[in-house]
Amino acid sequence: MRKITACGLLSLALASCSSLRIEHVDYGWPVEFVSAASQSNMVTADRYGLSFSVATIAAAEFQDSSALAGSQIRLLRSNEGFYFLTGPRFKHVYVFRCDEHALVKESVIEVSQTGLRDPRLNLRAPFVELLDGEGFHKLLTRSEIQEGSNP
Amino acid sequence: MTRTLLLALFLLLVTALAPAQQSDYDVQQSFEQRYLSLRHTVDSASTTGELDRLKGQIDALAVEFQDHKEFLDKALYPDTFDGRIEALRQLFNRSYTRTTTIQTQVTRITELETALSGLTGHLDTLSAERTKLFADLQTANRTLASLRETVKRLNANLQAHDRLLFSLIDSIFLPYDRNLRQASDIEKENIAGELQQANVLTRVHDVAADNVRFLQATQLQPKDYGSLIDQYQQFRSRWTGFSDKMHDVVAATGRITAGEPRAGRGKKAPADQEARDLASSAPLKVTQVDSVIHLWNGLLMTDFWLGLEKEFTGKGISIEHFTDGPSFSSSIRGLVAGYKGSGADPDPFVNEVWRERVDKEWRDALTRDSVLGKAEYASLDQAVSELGKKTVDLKLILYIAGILIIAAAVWWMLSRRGKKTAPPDSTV
Repeated sequence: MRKITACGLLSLALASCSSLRIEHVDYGWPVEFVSAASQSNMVTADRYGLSFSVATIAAAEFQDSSALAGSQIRLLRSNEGFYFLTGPRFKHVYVFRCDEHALVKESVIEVSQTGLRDPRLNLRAPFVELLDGEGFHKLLTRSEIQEGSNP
Repeated sequence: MTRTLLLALFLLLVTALAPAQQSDYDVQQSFEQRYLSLRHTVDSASTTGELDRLKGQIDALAVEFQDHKEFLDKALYPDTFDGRIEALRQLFNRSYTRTTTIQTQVTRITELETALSGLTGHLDTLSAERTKLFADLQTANRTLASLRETVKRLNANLQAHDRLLFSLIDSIFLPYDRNLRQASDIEKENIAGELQQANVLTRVHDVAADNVRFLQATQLQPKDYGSLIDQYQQFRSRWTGFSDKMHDVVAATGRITAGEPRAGRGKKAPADQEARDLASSAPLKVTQVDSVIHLWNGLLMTDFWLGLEKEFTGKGISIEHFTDGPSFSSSIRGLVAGYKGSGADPDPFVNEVWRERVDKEWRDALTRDSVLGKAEYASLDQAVSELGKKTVDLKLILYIAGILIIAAAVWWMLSRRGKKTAPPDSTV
């Protein structure tokens, strides 16, 4: 009987450990991070301890891995923890999720057919707001445009 | 169902606010820029009027961004919106205090500059008079009384010159004196400019050199030394205080010269150039002044001790040579011990020299702390007096003995005469 009880408790403990999970974590950044990519395509956000290369994004957006060197990048982390990345001339907003030493594409949301001129990202939980001059306003989720005009 | 309703409400709210589309980033940047700009302007404001206008801008910043307070508290982390506004207000208060102080000092400086101009004029007048007095002193065909009068006037002139010169220096430092250590390098550079403009170091050197010249040209009387020693001590003490402050302002000028030129400065202002002139010439001039002051003290004290020694040798009293307070004490004590040991008559030493000359003519100077000091003089005086007392006591005893002998003789004579003149006994 004792052996059965011990086995039961052990199983319960192991199960608890494997499912340890903290809910309702807010990853949101209060304000977007804006920086120019270096000539070696690196973007470093010291405040958030984040550093990565934009060469892959440049290749995907402009078909040229060095197209973003020296260009402005705007990055915002949503409440859910997804990174929203865009910039001037971008037609898309790139959404990434964290992985081990990697940012993995969650989705690529088309926001403009001609390319953004001077975009801004705001955190409007649970959405991320995209602005681009007068009248351009979209609310984004991690995978789509939830609401907004597209002139 | 509820969730869908909430979402719809949120979307409605966002859409309603859509015309006021504003980037959080822009809000943060705008706040940061205005905050930094205000900080810089407040910090560099130079008038209270300018600061009064800036106070309104600080209030406007606080009001304008109040709606974004919650967002800015997060975006400005680790600062907060209230923290930034409070920092601005504190900076404003500091700047206001500083500017008010500077404005007050500027007014005071203007007043003092007028006073300085007057003092400089007085100094020049005194210099001219002093030159004439030196010429008078060197004229041979003058009576002794007339020479003494000239020496007296010359000495008074030199003392007035000293006082006026250090009043001039005090006036230059006065606006900063309490806080010279806290005064900025720019303020110290201004002082350096004024010191150079008033030609202070040369004037200090000239005053010290004139005192040396005075000592060389004059035969002093014992009672002259007291005030001359005081004059020297005061001058040296003021010079020490002044040279310490001057090192400070010269160092500040050096730092400014070594650093970058100040913004907005094109050509070097004349005052800046004067400050630089002072900084480059000060070390040599300070050495020269130190050297003249040393010579002044040497001449004064050599004259003093030689004059005092002559009082003894002039009366044929052999005394060990002395050059300062301790050696004088030692010589006097040695002399007293010599008289005690030899049994020689100490009267010439005690009465003719010590009481008549040293105590009456030289005591005033000897009791100065820098010479012998009151306590040591009193101790020597007591030692000499004790030597004199023995003489007095012996004489007194002789006098008393003489009187007693005379009284006894008179009594004996009278008693004998009484016996001779007594009437014969009637009963015989």
